[in-house]
Amino acid sequence: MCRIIKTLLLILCCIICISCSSKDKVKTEQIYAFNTTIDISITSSKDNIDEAYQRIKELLYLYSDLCDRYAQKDMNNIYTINHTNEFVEVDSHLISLLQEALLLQTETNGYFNILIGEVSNIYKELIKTSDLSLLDGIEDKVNDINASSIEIEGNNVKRVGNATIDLGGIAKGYALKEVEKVLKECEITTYLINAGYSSILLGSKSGKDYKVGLRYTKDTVLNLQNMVVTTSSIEEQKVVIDGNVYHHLVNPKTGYCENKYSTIYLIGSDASQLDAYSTAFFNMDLEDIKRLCEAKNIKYIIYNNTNLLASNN
Amino acid sequence: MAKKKIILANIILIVAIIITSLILLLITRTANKQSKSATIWYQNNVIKTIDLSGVDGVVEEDIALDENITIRISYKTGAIRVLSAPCHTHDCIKTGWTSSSRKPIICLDLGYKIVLSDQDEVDVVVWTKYLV
Repeated sequence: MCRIIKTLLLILCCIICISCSSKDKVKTEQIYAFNTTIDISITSSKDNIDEAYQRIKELLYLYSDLCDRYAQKDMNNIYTINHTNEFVEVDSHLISLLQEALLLQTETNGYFNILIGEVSNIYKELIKTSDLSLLDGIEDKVNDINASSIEIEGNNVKRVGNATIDLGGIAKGYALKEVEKVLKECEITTYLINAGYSSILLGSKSGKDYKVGLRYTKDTVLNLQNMVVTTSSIEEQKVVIDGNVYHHLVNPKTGYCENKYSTIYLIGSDASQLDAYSTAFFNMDLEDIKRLCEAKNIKYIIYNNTNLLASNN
Repeated sequence: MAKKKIILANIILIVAIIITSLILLLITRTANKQSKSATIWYQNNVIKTIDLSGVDGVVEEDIALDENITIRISYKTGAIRVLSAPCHTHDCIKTGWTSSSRKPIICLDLGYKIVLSDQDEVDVVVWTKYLV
């Protein structure tokens, strides 16, 4: 009897020790890329976690530099392309991104358009200064968009016309998509990559769902795993002048702000697609949004101020 | 008789271990649920973590993000806000009081953020898209 009790005690101690120990390694870090903070959190018991982590950071920094339209980095990037109408040789990662952007432009019937750079600049300034005279030349800028194009030959890109490229509507999402490939290659399943709070890549939380809160929707919590969540909203970047709302999600076809929605949440599996769609949808009719989401298996939650307009989640 | 006493003592010992474990587990889970803290991040570094539980009144404090940048914060039990910061857009100040991990205070201009941790809420909050 005494031996049985001692054995039970020993087993109990072993159970306690095993449950307390963890073979999982956690890597968390916040980096600054794409002019925002990127919170990286990955957990794995595999030996390659350090290598995976390093590759992820390098990828994010690489895409951030390639997509920068404000400064020339140590390589040819969007800034370089925007300052010439000649062919520019660029990294193959940027070529793939541009090709994806052009594909998404077709899928959204032109409501997503990366040649919106000059129009974006006008609205950024308008939000800062509230100077409506900035909109005086907006039709010319839209004409420039319509008359411009991007040509790709191998690893060479040429901008045709006066419109400039702005990858703000796809850069983070595309980078997250590439990060996801690295994670899958390294067989890492527990991860949460938060790119500026507007594009979030979720693995599983050690086999369970992540709890995802929606900023402008009180008390709503989504339980998700192996998904991407993206949002577009005008709540943080807008100005109201004479009762009219001006914001940064401009219609590239008209050069003006459609004010159909205030916040759009999208949930799906393709970070790049969701990033572009969340920009495009702001200027699309609700029925077109629903049709495209159904075709692409995307969940949507769409608000106009506090009114829930549509959801299939 | 002596043997029975030893057996009884061993049984009591095992029961005591189990009960202690359960109590410790309960205390830990309860403590996690009640604690709320605010972490101030600046360029990948944690500058300060502030315990927001049981704060006496409203506290104001200057936080030096680096040798050149100082922000002034105010906090009370369960909430925090930024009173002043040398950024251009003052988005961090406009955010106002935040008492939830759903509403982090973010300053893209200076590159800092204040994030609340509340264990019984969410892992991440989907926020907004900044045009860059």
